[in-house]
Amino acid sequence: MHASVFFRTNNNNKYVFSFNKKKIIYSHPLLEYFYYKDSLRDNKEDVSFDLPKEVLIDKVKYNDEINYYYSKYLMLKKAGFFEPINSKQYYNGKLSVNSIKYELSNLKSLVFEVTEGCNLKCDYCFYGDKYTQYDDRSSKNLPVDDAKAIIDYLVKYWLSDKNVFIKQERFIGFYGGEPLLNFNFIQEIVEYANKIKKETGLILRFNMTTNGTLINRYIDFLRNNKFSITISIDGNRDSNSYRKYHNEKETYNDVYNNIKYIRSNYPKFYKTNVILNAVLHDKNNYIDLQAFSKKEFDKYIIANVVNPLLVGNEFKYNNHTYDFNDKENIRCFLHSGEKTHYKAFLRNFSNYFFDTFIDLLYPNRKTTFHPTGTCIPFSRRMFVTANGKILPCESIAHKFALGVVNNAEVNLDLLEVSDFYNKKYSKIENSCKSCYKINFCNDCMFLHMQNNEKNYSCSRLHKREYDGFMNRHYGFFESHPNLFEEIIKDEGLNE
Amino acid sequence: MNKRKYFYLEPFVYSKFINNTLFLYNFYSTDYYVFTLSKRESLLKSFVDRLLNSYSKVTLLTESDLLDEDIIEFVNICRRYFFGDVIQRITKPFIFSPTPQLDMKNKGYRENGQFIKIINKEVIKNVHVFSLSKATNCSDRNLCDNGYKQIQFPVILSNGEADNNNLGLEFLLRNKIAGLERIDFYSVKILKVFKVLNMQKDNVKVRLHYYYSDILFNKKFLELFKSVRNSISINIWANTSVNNDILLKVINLLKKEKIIFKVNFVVTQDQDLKLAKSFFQENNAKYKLIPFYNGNNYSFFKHNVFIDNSFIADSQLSEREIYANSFINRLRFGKVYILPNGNVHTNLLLNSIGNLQADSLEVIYDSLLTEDTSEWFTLKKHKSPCSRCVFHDLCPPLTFYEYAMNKYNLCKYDIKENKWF
Repeated sequence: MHASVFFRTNNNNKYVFSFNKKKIIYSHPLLEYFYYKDSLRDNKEDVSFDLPKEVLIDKVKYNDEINYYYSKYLMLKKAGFFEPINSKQYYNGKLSVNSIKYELSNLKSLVFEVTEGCNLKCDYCFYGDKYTQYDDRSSKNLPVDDAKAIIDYLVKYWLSDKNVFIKQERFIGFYGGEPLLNFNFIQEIVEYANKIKKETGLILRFNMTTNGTLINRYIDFLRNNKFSITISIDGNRDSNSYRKYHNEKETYNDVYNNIKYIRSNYPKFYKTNVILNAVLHDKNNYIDLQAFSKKEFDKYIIANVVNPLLVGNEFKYNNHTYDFNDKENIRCFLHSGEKTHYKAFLRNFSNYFFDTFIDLLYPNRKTTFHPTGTCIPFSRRMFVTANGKILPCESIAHKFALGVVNNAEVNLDLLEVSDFYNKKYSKIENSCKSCYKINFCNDCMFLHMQNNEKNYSCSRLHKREYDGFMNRHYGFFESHPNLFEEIIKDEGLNE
Repeated sequence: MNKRKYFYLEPFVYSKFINNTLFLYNFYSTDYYVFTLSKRESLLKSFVDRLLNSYSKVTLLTESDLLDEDIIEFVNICRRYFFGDVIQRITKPFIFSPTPQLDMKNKGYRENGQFIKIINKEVIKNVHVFSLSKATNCSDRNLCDNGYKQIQFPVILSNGEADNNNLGLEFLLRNKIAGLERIDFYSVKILKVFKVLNMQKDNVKVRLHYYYSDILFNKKFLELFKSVRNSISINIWANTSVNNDILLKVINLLKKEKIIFKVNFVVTQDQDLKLAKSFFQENNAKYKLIPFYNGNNYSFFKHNVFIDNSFIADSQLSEREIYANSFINRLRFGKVYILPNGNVHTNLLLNSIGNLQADSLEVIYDSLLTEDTSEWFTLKKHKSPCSRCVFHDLCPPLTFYEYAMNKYNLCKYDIKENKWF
């Protein structure tokens, strides 16, 4: 059971969060007193609690206050504010074949690992020799026929009545290694997809993640086919120094010049279709990175911290700090993964963020929750490795493949997939039940199981740690209330 | 550092401030209060402005505020109803202000003037398909000719359409509508209903609407009807000019066959109410009174239909319902009305938003979400005088009555005087 939780911010303001009502209210000490008094009586809490000191000393003087906050407490109690939630409500979800079919039918992104081959040997690459979560790398290319078989398999779902979105844009993505090393594959698949577009009316678009060293050779093709391109660059020369060729030569000049080339020769395409991406590690800093990117490329970079679950602590990023009195810092924040994180917090700790009109109208739609924040398979993308393994994303270790495509035949047993997930859930759910991140978990169980499947451990939150957790999040907005408004405006959330 | 006094509105309090009138509503206790501020500039007015014009509804209580009687009274009233509180802190607290946020980049909408994003096919929840029989013994011409537009009376005397070329039915026979939860059929033959149900998903609920005497024409109807799923119910439509004996015969027949039904009884004047109540109670039949505006019965509507000041306490709207009212017409959203000629309406008293023969399904869906005549997003707050009223998010959403009467404030509230009459 998860009862209401009182927490204090660094600014010494106290609040209480109701799991039942999904609301945070300011908490007067007397309110807390009455809550704990009730809880002690009902044996819900074993905390000893007494009236605030000044009230204890002179109860007569504070008599009106005592009565007032007792009435307030009763009003909130009657409304169910302090009602605990049953954690089973969050974990009754079992994955069904139908829900996987729904995700396949509405799949937004299919990503091919075009080739394992790469012309670079970046130090922190999790496909490198040091890391064992993924299949041994050679220069294997994904066979074109296997890729076409996957597309054919998915087209059947996309044209089924389980697809609920008219004009859903679906992306076919090319990943690697370095995908441009296998340009012929890309060309053939694009041609194949264009044919399907004409025949079926499906809206298929293309994207690619590239190290940027070879892009200029193929830019016309990419532009003509309206690719969205993500080019990796970690910042200035020094920051980018982990990214190098096999002969240890740095890549900075080549990538820098190529980006500049695209910007000057294809300005419209550059503006709308080119994204820059960086890894944050011990040689760069997010704020400096954005300043560099704005100055050199007139773009904000999407930056992600190198994942310690994948590469250990070797390249550990030293956190940056923002000066929120500076407008440019605020803009950097609004382009960061942190903003996404805080936005998720806002959604999970209040009850007035709605995704769609349907959510506004139908609050009691049955919604299954599953343990952890692991995505439902194929709710985000389908990733196909050069070896033909089918995975829910590129970050997951290959040993957790859900299916395989081989000799142009797709083997994806959805019943096996659902059983696989449900078995994992049933092992984990007991530890989730007592976790106070119950409504805010974004842990992927596969990332935590990478190295140790049997003894699952994650960033579980105990009740006693809640102060720190809420202080980091709610205290953030308390200290920077203007950012609440900025996030709302930036997301286009408005009435 | 010195502590300062702050006043905040609780996150479970709804607020609306229009034309110097402030309405506060406590979702938890359902207590509410309407403050009328002076039109002149005042400390209270600027205090309220400061309070409401921020995402986190917290404001500092300055020294001048603390000496102003109006502000003190305002704060005391707010405390009394637990709308808000005064605290003394070093740092201003932060309250997630309850401003509903809809993810406008997400599924199921289109930005005006921009390209179509994606439209969620699950938005259509309830389809009303009209066939509209020509009941020759329907004596109230106004009701029989125009009633289908205002109250979906299942009869039309002039320009009656046949079942054989019913584009609405054909549409449902050809297209499985994702997300569909209910279909209402008006004077549609039962065989056609079955065919449609075979196409749509299994758990779709069905309501059949017939003019009362149409039930008796076909024995086969009852046999067929009994063989179908339990999710079908019948609405029989009648009014005071019907033949009571026949109506009673219909009621008894349906009871005998254990078919779920309800009588939608159309009323236009006070005496209709008494007649209906006595008839149906005497004969133990479930019924619903359906007011119909015939152009001459404004006072009947004023006394019996218009909402009065008890509606706020009686409605006990949840937070979600109030939020929904600020974005969509909760009554109409997801509903479409399809006439036999294929015209698709969200409001039968307005022009259609498309035609099934002329427009593709995608165009229809898009129109539902964007056309001015789509009632899905037409709200009380868009219409005068309700746009100037602090209750517009709590009021029932626009129905067809407002359009029939050409009057949007079907209530007993005087906005100018700020009081109920």
